[in-house]
Amino acid sequence: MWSASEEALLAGLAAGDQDSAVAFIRRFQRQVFGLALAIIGDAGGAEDVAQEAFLRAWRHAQAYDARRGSVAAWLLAITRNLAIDALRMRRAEPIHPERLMSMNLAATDVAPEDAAVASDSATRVRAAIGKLPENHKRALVLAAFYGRSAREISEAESIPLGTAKTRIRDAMLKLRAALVDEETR
Amino acid sequence: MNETCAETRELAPELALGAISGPERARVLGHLSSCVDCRLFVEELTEAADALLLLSPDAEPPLGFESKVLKSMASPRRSFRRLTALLAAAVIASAGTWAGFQLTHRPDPITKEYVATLRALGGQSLRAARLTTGQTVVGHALLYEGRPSWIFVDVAHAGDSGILTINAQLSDGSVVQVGGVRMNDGRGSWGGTLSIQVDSIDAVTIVDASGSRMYRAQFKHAE
Repeated sequence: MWSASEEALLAGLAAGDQDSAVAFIRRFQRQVFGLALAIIGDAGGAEDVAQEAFLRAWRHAQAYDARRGSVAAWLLAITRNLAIDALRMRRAEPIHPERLMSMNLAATDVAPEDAAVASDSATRVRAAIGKLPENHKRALVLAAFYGRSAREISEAESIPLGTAKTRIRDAMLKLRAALVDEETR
Repeated sequence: MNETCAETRELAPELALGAISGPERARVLGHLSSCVDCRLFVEELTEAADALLLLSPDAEPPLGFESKVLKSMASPRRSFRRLTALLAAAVIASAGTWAGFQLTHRPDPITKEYVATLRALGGQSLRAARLTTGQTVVGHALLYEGRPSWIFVDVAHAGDSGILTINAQLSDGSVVQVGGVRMNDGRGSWGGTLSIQVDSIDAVTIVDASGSRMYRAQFKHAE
């Protein structure tokens, strides 16, 4: 059971198999809770979000499409959306992207020559983030983890809408380039 | 590359990140259905966005987390569904073919109750419409506009089984999938949050696995 693929575990979860459900939760709970905690900022709220994320995965397992990405990416996208909804319910609380920016998203100590030969996506994406200007990084974190639109970022950062869009676009194109390079090497 | 491709690529990073407004999202998705190059471009950006989420730091959940999740799976009727079901029953009991409740409507006792409900929820509107085959009523759809906005659908039609797709038909003519309802013995209900603007929704439709439309709830009528 523990060596089963992500897809097999999800299929077992959807079918109501208890062993698959346990294995699925154990496989992903640290990632799911970690992401919820990084966005929400408190353990209680993060636990509620993480719990709901697993329930959504269970209820909507049939909606998972392997062509669109891994089970982990699908589950984390559900978690992110729930965390954003939860944050929006607490409308008075300000967002602190620094919390996420300080959590090892960017590798600042990867030499360019090492990044160029790094085989895994995470290292290359970290290296690409590490090379972004700080204001691009903030825009990326606000959009990717907090679901903020370019308009909301422009208002929060007091910058023109076009500047917010450019920061998001430039950052994403650099991440894409890092991954496309990896696939074509 | 034409003008629509250029606009799509401009918006593609925000689409991939899930940080795009409803009308823009609908416009881009409409173009992607007919442009392979732009679709590939968005897929690559989506892969980058996925990779970004995978970088988030792991953390150990509190003790007992696993058993709490397993217990919830054993009793899926959770508070959100109970709340929406109660609201559904209440709205349906007092509404006609469709009804919209705004904070400024006339203050009869029933409306007062819904104004109080909306104020408690902090939302702007709650609307209901009957789901029909064209002639026969088979259920209801509710749209709530707030933070977050949500949809709740209840269907009862003998013979239906499996998962039916719930789509929102937007004012610009585009169609966005918003959820799915699992039918057991001809009955099913589903509720979930919406990432599109509620006031951009003209109708909610239910389609089967082949994409054929089965039921429709009309929220806006031609003026």
